[in-house]
Amino acid sequence: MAQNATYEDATLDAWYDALMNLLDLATAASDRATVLANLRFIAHQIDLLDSWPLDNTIEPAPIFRA
Amino acid sequence: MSFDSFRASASAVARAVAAREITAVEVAEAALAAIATRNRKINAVTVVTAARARRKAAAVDAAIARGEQPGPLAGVPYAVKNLFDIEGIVTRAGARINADNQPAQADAFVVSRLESAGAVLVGGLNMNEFAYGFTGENFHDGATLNPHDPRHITGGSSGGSAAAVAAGIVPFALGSDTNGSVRVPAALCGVFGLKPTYGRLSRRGLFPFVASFDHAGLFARSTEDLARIYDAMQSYDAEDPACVPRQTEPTLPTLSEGTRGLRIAVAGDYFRRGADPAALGAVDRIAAALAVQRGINLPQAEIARAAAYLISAAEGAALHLQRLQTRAADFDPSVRDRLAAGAMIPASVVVRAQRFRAWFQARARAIFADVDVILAPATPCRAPLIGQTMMRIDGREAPVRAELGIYTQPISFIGLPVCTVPLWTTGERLPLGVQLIGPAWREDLVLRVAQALEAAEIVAAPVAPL
Repeated sequence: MAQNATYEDATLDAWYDALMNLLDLATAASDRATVLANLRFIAHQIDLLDSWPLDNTIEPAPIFRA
Repeated sequence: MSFDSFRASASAVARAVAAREITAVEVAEAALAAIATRNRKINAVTVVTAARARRKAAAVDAAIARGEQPGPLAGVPYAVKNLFDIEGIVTRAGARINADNQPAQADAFVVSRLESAGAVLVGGLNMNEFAYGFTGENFHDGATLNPHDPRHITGGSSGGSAAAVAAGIVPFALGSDTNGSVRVPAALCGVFGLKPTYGRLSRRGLFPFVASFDHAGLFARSTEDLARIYDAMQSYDAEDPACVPRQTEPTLPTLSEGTRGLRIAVAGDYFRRGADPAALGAVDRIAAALAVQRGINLPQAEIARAAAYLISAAEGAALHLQRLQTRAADFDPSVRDRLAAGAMIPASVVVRAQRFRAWFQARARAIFADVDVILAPATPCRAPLIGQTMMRIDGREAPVRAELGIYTQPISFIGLPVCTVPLWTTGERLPLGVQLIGPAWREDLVLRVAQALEAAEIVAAPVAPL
C-alpha cells in the first residue's frame, strides 16, 4: 500500500472483487460493505506497518521462540 | 457438609479433599448443582460432563481411601473453553460448523495433565465463534453475561471461562489467548488470569485460531491457585511444534517471596493513550502500592498491534478458507466478514509483519535487561454493555470489538508471560484489570508480584453475588 494512500472506494472495490473471485468466495451483497470496511481497516494497518523501516538482515519469525 | 466449596479456592478444595474433610464426590455434586442454579443467569457453560465428573470424583475418593497420593488438584472441579478437546465430546470452538464434527478421541494435552493431577472436569464453556472476538458474545449460543452486572459483556474470547470462575461455578477454568482472550475477560470479570510464555504449554487438542499466537491459559480466584494449576499443566509436548523443550519451572515455591529487589516499571506512551482515566488509574494504583517510580516505553507498540492484527487476520483466514468457500452461511456474519477480508491480505504484508515481530522482540528484550516486570492496562475501560458496538474512549468514538484488545495484542505478539490482576473501585460494580508483564519464561516473577498485591489486598477476585 502506498504510504498515505487515501483508499479510494474504487481501489477497495477492485481489491475486493479480484480476491473474491480468485479465492472463490461468495458473499451476499449485504456483506460487501462490511468486508470493505474491514479491508479499509486492514489497509490502514498495512500503512502503519510500512511506515517503519526494517533492515534487510531482520528475518521473519515463522515458528516463534519467546 | 460444612466446607464452603462454593467460595473455596482450588487449593483449599484440594487440601480439604486430601485431608478427608470433604469427599471429591461431594465437591463434584456441589459444582454440578452450581451449574444447574447459576449458569442459567450467565450462560457460561455449554456442555456438562456430569457422568465423567462423578466417575473421576469417585476414583479420587477411592485412591485416597487406599492411602495413595491423590495429586495436587485432587477433587478440584474445573471447566474448559469449548475449543479444548474433551474425549467423547464434539469440540465446538463456539461454532455451528464444528457441531458436525466427530467427537474428540482424546483429551487435550493440558486437560490430560489436569486429570493426572486429580482435577475433576465438569464441562465446556462458551466463547466467541472460533475465538475471533474480544466480547464473549456468541452468535449461536448467546452471550455470556458478566456475573458482576449481567447487562455487560464478559470480554472474550474466553468469556465463559472467566464468568464461570467469577460466578463461583468452578474455582478455575482453562481458556486460550491469541491476542488477549484470557487477559481481557479476566479483567472485565474480575478474576486472575495467566497467559504463560508462548511455547510453554502444549496446544495439542486445542482447536486453533492463529498458530503464531495461540496460547493455552487459565483463570482462578487466587494467585496460589494460578501457580498451583499452572505448575501442574507444565510439560514439554513434542507434538506441538511451538512447544519449547524446557524443564518444568515451578512457580509455587517462590510465590510468596514478595517484590523486594524486583525492578518494576510502568509502560508509557502507547499504553497511556486511548483509555478511560479509570483504566489508567488502575495501573497507577498498582504502581503506587508497589512504590514504582520508573517508566519505560515499548517502541512502536502501535505498529506491533497492527502487525499482530495482520498476522491474525491472515492466518485465521487461511485456516478457515475452505469453510468460507463451502459453508459461509453457517458462520457468525461478523466473523465471516473479518475472515473474508483477512484472506485478501498479500503474503508480502504477512512476511513483513513477521519481520517486524523479530525487531520488536529484540527491543523488548533490551528493555527487560534491566526491568523485571512491566505494568500496563489490560483493557481501555470497564466492560461495555452487551450488544454495544461503539464506545466513547479518551474523547473519541471507537469500536468496542477492536479496541478491547489494544493493550494486550502488542504483548502476546511477542509471547511474553502475563498475569492479569483485578481491581475494584468503591461505588463501581464492574472491575478493571492490570497486566503484569514479564520477560520470556519468567512466569514466576509476574505471579510473585500478583501474590504480593493480593496479600496487600490491592487486588482480589471475590465470587460475584449474582
